[in-house]
Amino acid sequence: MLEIRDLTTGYGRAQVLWDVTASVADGEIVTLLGPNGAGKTTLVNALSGILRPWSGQVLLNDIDLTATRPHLISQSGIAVVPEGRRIFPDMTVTDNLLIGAYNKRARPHHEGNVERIYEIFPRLSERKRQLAGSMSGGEQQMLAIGRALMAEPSLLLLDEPSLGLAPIIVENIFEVLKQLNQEGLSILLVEQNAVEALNLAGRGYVLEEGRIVGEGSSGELLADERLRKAYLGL
Amino acid sequence: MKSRRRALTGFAVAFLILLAVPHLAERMDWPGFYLTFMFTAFFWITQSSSWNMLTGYSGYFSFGQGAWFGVGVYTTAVLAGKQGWSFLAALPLAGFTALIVGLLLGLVVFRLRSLGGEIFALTTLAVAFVLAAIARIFAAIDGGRGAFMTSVPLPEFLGEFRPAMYRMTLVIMMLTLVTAYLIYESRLGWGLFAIRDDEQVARGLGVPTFRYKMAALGANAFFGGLMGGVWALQIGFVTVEDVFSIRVPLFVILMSVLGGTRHWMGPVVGSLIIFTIVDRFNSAGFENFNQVFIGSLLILLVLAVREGIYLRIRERWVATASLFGLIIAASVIFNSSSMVWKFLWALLGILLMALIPDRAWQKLALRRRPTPSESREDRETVDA
Repeated sequence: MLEIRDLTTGYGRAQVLWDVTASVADGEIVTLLGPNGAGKTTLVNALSGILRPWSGQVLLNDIDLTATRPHLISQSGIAVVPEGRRIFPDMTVTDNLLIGAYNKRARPHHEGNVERIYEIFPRLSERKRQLAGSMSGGEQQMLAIGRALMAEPSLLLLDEPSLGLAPIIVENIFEVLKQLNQEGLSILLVEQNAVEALNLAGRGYVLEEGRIVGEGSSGELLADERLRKAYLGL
Repeated sequence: MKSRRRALTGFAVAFLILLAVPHLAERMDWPGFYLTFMFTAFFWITQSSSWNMLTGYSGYFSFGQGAWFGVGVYTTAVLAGKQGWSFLAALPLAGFTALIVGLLLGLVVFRLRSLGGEIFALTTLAVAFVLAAIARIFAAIDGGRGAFMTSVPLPEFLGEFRPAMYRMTLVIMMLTLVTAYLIYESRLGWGLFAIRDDEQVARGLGVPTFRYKMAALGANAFFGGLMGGVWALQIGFVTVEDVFSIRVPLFVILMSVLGGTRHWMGPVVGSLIIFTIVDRFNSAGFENFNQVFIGSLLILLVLAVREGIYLRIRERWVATASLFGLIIAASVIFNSSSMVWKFLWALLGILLMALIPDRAWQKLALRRRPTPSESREDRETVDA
């Protein structure tokens, strides 16, 4: 599904990522953990085409994303739920969803997909005509996920979806992610909230100062002494 | 689709009614300045609506309206005024020359990511300065001597000068408004509004941002230039200082922001209100107060109606239209001043209507429909 090989990139002349190698297999949930400033969002930006890799490769279903123009990346099957949600605040909920189906592949199915999103998130269907910016943080996060799903991705990439949300809402949203995964969606979950993320994911990577410093199954990572100290506060 | 057909029918009906006005004016012996007033309003509606296609839709703030306008003015001034082309042959080139200049600018600024925000705004301002310098230097364009449009013959079927100006500006305004509407309702419009809200996310969702921004800039420049091409006739004696002054860009910004930039109708409403107020101020002999007055008015209105007048009155259009009609009727019965004054009073009625805050309006209308912020409060109590 997703193959990241020796990815190196940064901003201007400041290098942020060093030889990052990671993968997500079909139908898997993988989490990427790391402290603030480790380069998690930089990696997300590189995967979504906002940032050009300096070297290395990103393959999605054997298509090289580093050679794909940014606005065509969503068509190739990866959809991003950006950090801080970044929904379109002055558009209605429905318009936010419809604009998620912008790419050519998903466009013809937008009507059915909107209905499907409203089934997944009934809260959103109660607010169809409301301006997205006037909703609560949790609802905005649901909307951001819904908007990403409208692109009919095979891989969903989430950047810190739990940020700033009440634990009960986080649980709610992670439950939905689990469901989506059971229906066949692959997920790469970038998180600081290590416990919740490892409970959901099957495998994980640990990113520190731009390098992958650890990887393993969720069980292994949860048992790792150093990791427990650094991220779990145990 | 159905709503689009209905809207286009509406445009056609409005066009036919407005097209009949010069005949009516002749038959009913209206004062000549009614037509001048109307086609000057068409001019401003076109300029601000075309500006809004770029800045309102995509969020890229432009001071470049003077540049597109100026390129259009000088295209017909040079071709028809100096080279002796027939006016209607020169006119389309006014639009296309502005389009080419606009696209060249776009190629540079939209390719360089560092030129976002304020730098984009300043770059568009600089384009007008550069064009003014070019016009001043080259004698074939202006050379500091100005250009005369007063002896340019107009085709006979357009009628005398005023009706001819009226008809040409009307056609260009309708083309501009239909384009603004079609973009607004299309995938292009959606993409542009997404760019306005968050360009990075828009690109991530598959919006071809570069192409869309070029399209918006192109449409803006084309219609601004086309209307400029006609306007050279009204100016008569074209000079660099006058054409490339800051007047056009400042007024289109003022008009669009006041009317509301998030809807294609916003600039239309804003242009009508501001142009009519300024026109009546001038005719009442207060020319020097204009800038003080307009400046204060803008501050006040922008603070009071942040989303623009149009979006405010759309929610209460029945009441607004009734008030407009009532004021017109009352001033026709009780007041013998010119129609333009009556129009101004009625527009001030609309303004007043827009100034009523949403909350107060709901109390006035004796209706309780929760606003988005209120329904949010409701939900939070349910959550708790």
